[in-house]
Amino acid sequence: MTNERNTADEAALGWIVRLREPDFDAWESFETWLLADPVNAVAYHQLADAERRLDPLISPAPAAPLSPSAPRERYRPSLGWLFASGTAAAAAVAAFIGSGIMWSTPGLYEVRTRPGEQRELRLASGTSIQLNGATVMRLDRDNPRFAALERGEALFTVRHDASHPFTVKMGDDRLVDLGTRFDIVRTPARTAVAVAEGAVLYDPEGARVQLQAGDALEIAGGRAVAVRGRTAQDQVGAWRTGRFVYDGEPLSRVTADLARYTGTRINLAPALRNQTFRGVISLSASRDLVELGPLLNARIQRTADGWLISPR
Amino acid sequence: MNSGPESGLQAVFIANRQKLLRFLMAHGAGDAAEDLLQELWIRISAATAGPVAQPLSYLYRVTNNLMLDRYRSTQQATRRDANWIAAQTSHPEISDAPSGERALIAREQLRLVEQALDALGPRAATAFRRHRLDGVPQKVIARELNVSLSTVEADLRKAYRAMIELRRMLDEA
Repeated sequence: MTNERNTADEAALGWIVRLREPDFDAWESFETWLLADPVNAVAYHQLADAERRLDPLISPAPAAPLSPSAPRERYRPSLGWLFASGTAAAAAVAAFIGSGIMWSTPGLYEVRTRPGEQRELRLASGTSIQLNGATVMRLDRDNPRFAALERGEALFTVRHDASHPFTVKMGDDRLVDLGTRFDIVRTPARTAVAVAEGAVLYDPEGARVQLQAGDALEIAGGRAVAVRGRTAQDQVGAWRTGRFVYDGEPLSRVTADLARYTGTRINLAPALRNQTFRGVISLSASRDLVELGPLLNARIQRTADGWLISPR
Repeated sequence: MNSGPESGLQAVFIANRQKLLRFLMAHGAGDAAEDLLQELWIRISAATAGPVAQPLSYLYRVTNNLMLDRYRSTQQATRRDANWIAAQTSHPEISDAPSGERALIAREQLRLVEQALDALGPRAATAFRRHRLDGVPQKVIARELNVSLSTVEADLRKAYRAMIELRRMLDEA
């Protein structure tokens, strides 16, 4: 009995390891194994669920701060995914160097969208950038392979040119495309990158972390954490069509997304801030949020300046 | 019902509906299988990005993830009930430790992770780090370590077992 269970566990671990390979395609063999004994599915679900929850365990602590003078290549964080985005001093140095280069460039200009306004930019380099509402982007007339996302959200579709990589600056962080479609959301507290196609390189001068399609990166509080293969690739940039896909995100993030997209003010009752939501929100043309009540399991009312979402 | 042409993924879904249903049944989805297929359809209909390289393999993967999501939410529901009962008999608002303390706990956890990895021996620990943290394909790791792919798989099984045990130990702590 216990022995049987151990065999199932061992085999389940084997499938977990094999399924993690992006090119895994032996789905029918996997199915045959599941069918061979009901114990197998039970073992697989338990172990695979625990495996999914390893992420916060493996990447939780602040990394050792980087000294600004230290050669960065030398530093290989022993627990990957977790790389210091720098101490305040390092950040200040980077900002100083960065801004020195940036602001001496005369071709720099700014594009803003109002809350609720979506628009598409086409750069001379064959790159298109779709801006969500309430977004501020800086571009360079003299260098069509550069963009800086100050805040808001943008979906980049980049025509790759190995000799002139496209660089996106997000505060002190940099991303270089390796032939790509990717989405960036940026608020004062957090920057999130999701890759739909191809790959991007985060921190090209330092950690050089490559993000593949399906990978996501979160930068908050001076720390960057990459999550491998968790984002369904077709969900990246879904906001362009008024669709929002969530997999257990806090409602505060959901309402921030809706506010950016619709341009209306949304007040969320503090009691709901950490309630999570999993599912697809598809906004109708009327952008009437009341119909989302049952979906979000909350009460939604119109107020003088927008919407109020409160517990039922 | 649908005036426009379906996306490639939707067409692949329709052509392979029975296969995916069988896969869900093999997972033990039972009566929930049809609902899960519906959820799969909604997920792929929310898709806006370009073509997917291996559409059927992709659908299998999303289906597999749906099963695991379902497992997670059932587990959470069970735990919520247990917590609710616990909350009736104890002081509320004790769940949120101050962030300083949480950071400490995180650092302690990291130490335990490192310790558990080191206990596996250098080859397995390296294989796991390269695989899980650097995202390197297993074939490449095999080449780097100059061992066979099945050795890498065995090392990773061992490492995952250790990590999962640690996860469970911390869950219960």
